[in-house]
Amino acid sequence: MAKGYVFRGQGLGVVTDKVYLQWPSKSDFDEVMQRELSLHGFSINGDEVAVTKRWIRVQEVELVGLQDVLDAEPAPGQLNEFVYGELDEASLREILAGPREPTGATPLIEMNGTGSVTNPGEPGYNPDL
Amino acid sequence: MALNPKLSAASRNLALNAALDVMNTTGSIKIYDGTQPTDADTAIAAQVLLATNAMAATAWAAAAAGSKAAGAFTAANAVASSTATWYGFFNNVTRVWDGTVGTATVNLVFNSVAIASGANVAVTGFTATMAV
Repeated sequence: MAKGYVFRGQGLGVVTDKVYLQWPSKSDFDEVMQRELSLHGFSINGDEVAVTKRWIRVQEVELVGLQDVLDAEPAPGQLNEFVYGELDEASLREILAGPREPTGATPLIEMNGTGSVTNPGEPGYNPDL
Repeated sequence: MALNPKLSAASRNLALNAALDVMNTTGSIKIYDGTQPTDADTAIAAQVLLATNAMAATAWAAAAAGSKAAGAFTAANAVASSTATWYGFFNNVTRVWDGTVGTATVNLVFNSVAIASGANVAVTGFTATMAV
């Protein structure tokens, strides 16, 4: 059995889940937090962060077990360790590779058409179509 | 593992035919100004109809290789003056499929979107392609 820890970045909605095989270090915290802060235009080293200090504290304790992340929303403020059974190392490595990004740029069906507009007075204009 | 669904050409043809053949017999494309509705089920509100181009009795040819081409459209005189921004494909009075109108990087590309009342508005071709 493997053990993992998830840092869930929760600013304006869930933004980031990051899984660690070991208990995250301070630099791990900082990395995830900076990514979260960047979404709101803050730098973790900037003076503005003092304004959001309370928010950061909440984020810091939102470490949850992987199963919690997969099955249910974690209880805010709880610090859980979880030993998961069926998730093998390969699956965990896949999660560690990062969140899955949908390929939303490709529409299901593309519609492509062409046409022309000839306004009155322009060459070829026909008033009686 | 990445998400990677793939649909066969035969299934894509079926989907396209089912979605677009409803326009056969009474199909048309209508050009509007204003903001494109959220989806094709959202009623048209303040948008102004600028032109209606009727489709042929067989509005769309049978899909092949996941692609479906429209038949001929009847050119028409515009009924109002404004800037074309979006279109709706219609089955008689039921809107089926909307898209954007512009001069580039849109679903329906015109040489100009500034339409004066009475202008000749022609749709010269349309293709629907379903991604693999």
